[in-house]
Amino acid sequence: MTPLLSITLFLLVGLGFVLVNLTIGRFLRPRAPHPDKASIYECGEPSIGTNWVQFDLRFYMVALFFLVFDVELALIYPWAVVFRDMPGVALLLGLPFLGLILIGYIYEWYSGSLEWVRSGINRPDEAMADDASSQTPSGLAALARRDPETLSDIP
Amino acid sequence: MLGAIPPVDLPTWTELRLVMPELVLTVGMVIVLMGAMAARGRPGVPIVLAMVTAIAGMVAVGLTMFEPAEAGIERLIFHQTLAIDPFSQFFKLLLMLTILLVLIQWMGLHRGQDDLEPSDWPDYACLLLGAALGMSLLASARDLLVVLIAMETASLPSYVLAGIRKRRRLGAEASMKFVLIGAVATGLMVYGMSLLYGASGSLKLDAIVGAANDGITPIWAVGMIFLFTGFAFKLSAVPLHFWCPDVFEGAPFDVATFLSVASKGAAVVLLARMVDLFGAYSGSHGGEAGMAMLLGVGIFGAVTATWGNLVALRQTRIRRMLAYSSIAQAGYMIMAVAALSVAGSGHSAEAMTAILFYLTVYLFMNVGAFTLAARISAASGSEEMSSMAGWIHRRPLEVVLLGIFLLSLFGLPTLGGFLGKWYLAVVMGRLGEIGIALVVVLLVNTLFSLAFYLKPLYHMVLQPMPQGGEAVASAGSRSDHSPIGLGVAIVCAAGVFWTGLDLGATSLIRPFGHTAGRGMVETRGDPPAAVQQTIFDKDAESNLRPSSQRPGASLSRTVEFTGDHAPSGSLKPSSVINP
Amino acid sequence: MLLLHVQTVGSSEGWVTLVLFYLFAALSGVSAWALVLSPNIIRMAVYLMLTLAGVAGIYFLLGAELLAAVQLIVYVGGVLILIIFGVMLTSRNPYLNVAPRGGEMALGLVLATVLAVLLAVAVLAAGLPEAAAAAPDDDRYAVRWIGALLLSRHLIAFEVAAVILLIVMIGAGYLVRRRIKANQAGATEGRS
Repeated sequence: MTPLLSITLFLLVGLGFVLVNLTIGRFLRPRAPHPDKASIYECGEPSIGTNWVQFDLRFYMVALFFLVFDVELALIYPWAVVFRDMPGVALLLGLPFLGLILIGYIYEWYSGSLEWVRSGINRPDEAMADDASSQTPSGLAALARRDPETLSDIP
Repeated sequence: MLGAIPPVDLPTWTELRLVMPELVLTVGMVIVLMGAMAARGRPGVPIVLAMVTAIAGMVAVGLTMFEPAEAGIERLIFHQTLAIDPFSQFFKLLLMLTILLVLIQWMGLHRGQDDLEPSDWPDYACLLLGAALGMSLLASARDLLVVLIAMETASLPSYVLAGIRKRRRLGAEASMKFVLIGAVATGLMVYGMSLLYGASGSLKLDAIVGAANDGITPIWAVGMIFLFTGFAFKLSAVPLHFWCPDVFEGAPFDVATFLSVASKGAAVVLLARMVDLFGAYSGSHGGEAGMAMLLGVGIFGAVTATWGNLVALRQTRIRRMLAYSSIAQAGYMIMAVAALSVAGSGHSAEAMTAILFYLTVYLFMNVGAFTLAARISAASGSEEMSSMAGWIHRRPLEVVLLGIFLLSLFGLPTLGGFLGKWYLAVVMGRLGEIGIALVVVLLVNTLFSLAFYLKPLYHMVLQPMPQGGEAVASAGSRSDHSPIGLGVAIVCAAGVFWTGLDLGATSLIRPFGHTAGRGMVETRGDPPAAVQQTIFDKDAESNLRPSSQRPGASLSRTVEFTGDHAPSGSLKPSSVINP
Repeated sequence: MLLLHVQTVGSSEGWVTLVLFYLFAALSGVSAWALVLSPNIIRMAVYLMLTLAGVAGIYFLLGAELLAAVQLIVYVGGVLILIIFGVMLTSRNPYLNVAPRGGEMALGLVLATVLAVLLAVAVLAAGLPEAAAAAPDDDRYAVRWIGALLLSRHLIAFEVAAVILLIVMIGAGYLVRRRIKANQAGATEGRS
């Protein structure tokens, strides 16, 4: 059996297993819908508002940094594979690549972008100076929110 | 089992020497960041370091500039992915000058304003240098992968720079529009690149253009259209122009200056290089691709220029007007680029010279106009032209200088813009009927553009100053009194007169255009080159030869311009400017 | 191209490849449709993940293992997370209906049809050259080969990619950074 065939069979059996079980379950399980079952908490307090909160922008920076190193990984992997063939040349050509990224990382560390706990974020004067909102420094969020008041200066 | 791999060797010293400008910019970025960390508490250090980088870059360009000219060739280095020729090097010189002027302008604009925290200055400098690196590579790119990477290197910092005033809604909106349109354009361009690779089996621009010689396949045509869509975005050519005014308005003036001069300049140079390849390849054949290119690029240029001028007339804010004016100016240059697509006309070198000349003039007049517009709107507290009524009485020097730049953008004789447009028209006029049509478009557009270039001057000079205007003036921010911005403007005015009165400008620039378009491969002295070339490149053979030996490629050009910088006098309208 | 491939590989494995191809193609195509038609942005992200994963599967079938892995790591793993984070960061409730209106839908449909016809004509009319339709077990798809190419022919692109990553880091850091001024007040953890 070729690897390709086993992969195909694996995929088909895996897909079929899920589908068959879901179909069987549909016929076997009792059916008793109730509005409470669809609520967020089936027991306890009635929920207030939505379950949606706006996350801090710092999470986005974590995601961006993750992506940066993700792409770096994708590029550095073929480099690492040929490293054994030509250690000297690969080292010389790879050092600038790694060095540039390292410098950027060190700079971000130094400049405080990576500090997770920041003081003074919700200080009143900050909120005043930061007229978008106390949550995000970027106007993008306000734009996405389509708040007519804060967007009044956009023609 | 381990298979064979292509040979890898280190770059040669010659190659490193020829990419010195790019190396300087990269090292400059690193030094700016390290300097910011080392000189804590002195926020001016990274800005000064960035300026030093720009000056060092100019020196580096100067060192590499004349070397290819002596050999009379373009050097294809790094496995023919980069082309170093006088044309690209001259643009890089303009680019470095732009960075320097923009940084000086920035010092005049931002001192004492809290748009940008001092702790953010190194970020600003680093992004500016990074964008410049991308544009510099774009001017030399000879390979689709390098085009893509360079375009991203130029675009990504521009996105951030457009929104650098992150506490302003307008900046955020500009940045978002820029990113969204840029992402769509890049996506289309990458898709086009993949189609082109599929159609030609090569990533090299000349091989791709050469593939059209066997007849244009639909897949090649679609790929080419998508590729040019990406170029059109950087050029802000008309279907993809609408980010330009919004970004220029949302970004600070210095960033707008940088984008309007450097970004468009790089795109024009890339377009010129691409279209020139068409011209070189369509020589021996019927020139089907070259003809399509001439029509396509010419029409795009004409539409861009006309649309930019028409919409500029309706603007009431000086910055939006300048933005649309820059769209129209880019349109003029695109129209001239179209002239490169016809081989055998023998005027490719002339067209290159005309484009370089126009870029030089454009640099001076646009930097000057933006600098003064920034100062005057900072002083009057508004960018509405009507609020600048009577400013001639308050700031006569600035208004006169602004007038010089605006009239040069229009093309008044004795100013640089006139001679630049004259050269463009001469080049276009050589193209037969299509060329005459382009010249007429240029002429009509130029006359029409006078209407809106005079508009701010009308308000500033002829309108009376409003009552209580003095109070407004004193309320202006501190930055409008700094002499730094005025210095930039005076330097630019000198540049406009230098080019306009042709005090050696044409003869200085001409050699750089004339030696473009002829190729010599910088062989690395590696015999296995042929082995590694055959891998993805079916026409590696022809790539390894100097292009003068390539069948049909730029043969006529080499013959024609190896001697003196021939058709002399053809470019110089001496009868007009020296009656 | 695939049919060509099936012929070269041989009939014993040919049908397996064909089945897998249609599986992945259906996955990509159907979830791309669902992506466009879904009104819920989170579901759109999930459909996008399926589309990208299907494309990765096709890369695998074509023998471009590195490309497939990169597709999974960077797009399915990275870009998609970025999109979901972007949704989480907007203060607007993402469960709102973002389905396109009728007019937009019609315009999009027309544009997409034109593009699809154009591309179909282009691809069907052109026989792709040999270089683009290499056999999957070709040496040049090996990771070592690509690594060597990155260090030789595409050295400039490789090194400048690091500059792009540096720029992205600086830009991201700049946009997210807050005023340092506030730091002089005593740091208290509970506030954020």
